[in-house]
Amino acid sequence: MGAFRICASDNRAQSADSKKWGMLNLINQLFKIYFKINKLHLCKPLIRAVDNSNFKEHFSLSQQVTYKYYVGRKAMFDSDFKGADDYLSYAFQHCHIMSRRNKRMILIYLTPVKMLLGYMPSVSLLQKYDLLQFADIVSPVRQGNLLQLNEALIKHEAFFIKCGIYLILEKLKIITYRNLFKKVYLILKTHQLSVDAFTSALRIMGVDDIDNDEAQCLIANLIYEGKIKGYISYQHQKLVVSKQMPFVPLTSLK
Amino acid sequence: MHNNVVGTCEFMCPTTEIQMRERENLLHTFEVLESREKMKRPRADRSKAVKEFTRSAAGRSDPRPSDLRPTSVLVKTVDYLLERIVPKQDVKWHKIYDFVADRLRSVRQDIVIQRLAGPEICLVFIKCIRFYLYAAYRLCEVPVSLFDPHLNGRQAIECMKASLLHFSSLEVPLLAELQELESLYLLFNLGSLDALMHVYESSADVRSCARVQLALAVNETYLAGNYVRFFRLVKKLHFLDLCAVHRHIPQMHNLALNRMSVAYNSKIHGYPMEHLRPLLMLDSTDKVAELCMRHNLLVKEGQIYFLKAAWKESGLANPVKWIFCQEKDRKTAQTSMQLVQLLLIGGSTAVS
Repeated sequence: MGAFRICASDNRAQSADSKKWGMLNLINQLFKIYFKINKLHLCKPLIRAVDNSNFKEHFSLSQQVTYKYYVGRKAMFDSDFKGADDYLSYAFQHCHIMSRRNKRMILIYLTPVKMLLGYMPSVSLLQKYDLLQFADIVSPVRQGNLLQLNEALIKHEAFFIKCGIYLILEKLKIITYRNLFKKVYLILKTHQLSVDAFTSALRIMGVDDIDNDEAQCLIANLIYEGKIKGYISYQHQKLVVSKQMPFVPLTSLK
Repeated sequence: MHNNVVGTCEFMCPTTEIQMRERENLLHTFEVLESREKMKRPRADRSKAVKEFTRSAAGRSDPRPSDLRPTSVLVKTVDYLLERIVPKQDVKWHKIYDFVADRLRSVRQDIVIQRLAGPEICLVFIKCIRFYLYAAYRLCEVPVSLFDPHLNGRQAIECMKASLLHFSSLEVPLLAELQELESLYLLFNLGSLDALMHVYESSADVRSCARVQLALAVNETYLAGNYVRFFRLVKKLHFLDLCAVHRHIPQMHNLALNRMSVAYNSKIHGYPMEHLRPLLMLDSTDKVAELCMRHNLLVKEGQIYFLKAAWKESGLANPVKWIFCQEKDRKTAQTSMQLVQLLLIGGSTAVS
């Protein structure tokens, strides 16, 4: 940390000799430590320092990739998924083709982020990087199968927890509900959907102890988050959706 | 680097302190000899005097071994406080809280100074935690000048964090107590990523027990905004777990009304108050109305008119002793004996 401060505050030397060149490497080392000890908030001042520097683009590519990897992971932690996508995608694309292990590590974090933004990974990609654990997650999310998703999360619990992505994957549950409800809408082909239909759909998917109140609650949350355009009528026990694209495409959300 | 000091004080309060406080008339009512309590300068009852908490000041010399209590005495002290002082009926409970909380702090200080460890210390910690959490519930309706839930919360969290470390370094694990601790830690810190990660990183024995699974489920519903399932699950919690999660309930009320104001948005149609009441475990439709009006939602003829445009953010209401909590309290901690048992052994790990 002391070394970092010396580098960062080197204002006197000329550009070519400045100690500032050492900055990013040190920052990356510090990131590594902060992630290991689980004190991510300590990353913030370092990120600010880099943002404020005008050397940003001129550091070596490998250092930039490492930097963006960590900043991307921090963004995930802060639920800034768009930001995380930008950073981690950059890291993945610019990571040296031969660094298989590094590419795999980036992908471990990029995959859930992409999934939350509505982009599902292909099985061939997951196979190539030995990340088939995600394949067990992709299909239930697409189908809206809550039960299978839960089973997959439990099956690969140890792996997801070790990588620190278990909690992010939990967020996929709401996307799963959304996909299930969209299917109900497509089947019923009407803009006035009875809540019973959603409750039944959830029961069929294995959620045994669900009732109309809870189904309404799940729908309410989706409406609140802007994932469904419509409103619930308690009177008629119906979800009334907009006639135009009521299920907002996931890829267009923030 | 000096070796750990080993306490030799055999009493709950070191003699030097008793003498000083007698001299300066600083004994607490709970500590005086009954026959002498009406006198101007009461004498201490050796069996009731308990070492006070005093801050370790810089420049003060290290505490003498005769002022520090060893593990066995600390265990006795905590048991005395919980068995004899906590259930007293003749004093307002916030005064009992002040005394017990202070004396427990001193117990914890003795532990830290001597760097004590081991299973008995772990049990001391968990008894302290049960006390803080119970107090948080019991005194929730008392004005803040008499009981500060923030300060109590800080003591509880400090104690929980220390406990987690102590429990993890035991050679022979205290599984039931650890399960209880993890569950209380998670619920008291509902929504905290840190606490959640901690539970996930704990051993499978701990994580897979019914109590922790229920706590995880409650946490999940909180994070997902699933207000219907949240209250259904909260109803099933063990009383101490309920005390832990209690302070987060107003947040869930808030969230529910906020979600509903968007999802049920309508200028014409209302939502029946009597239907919402049990979903949010509120005591009466009057209470539902009160909550709605806090957020500027119109209430008329038993109906709530959810209007997105009308919704007003408002500070959180203080948690209160809702009827569903009182019922659980009655079942678990009604009599003095039940209360003492609750604090000393915490109840079973079975979900009630």
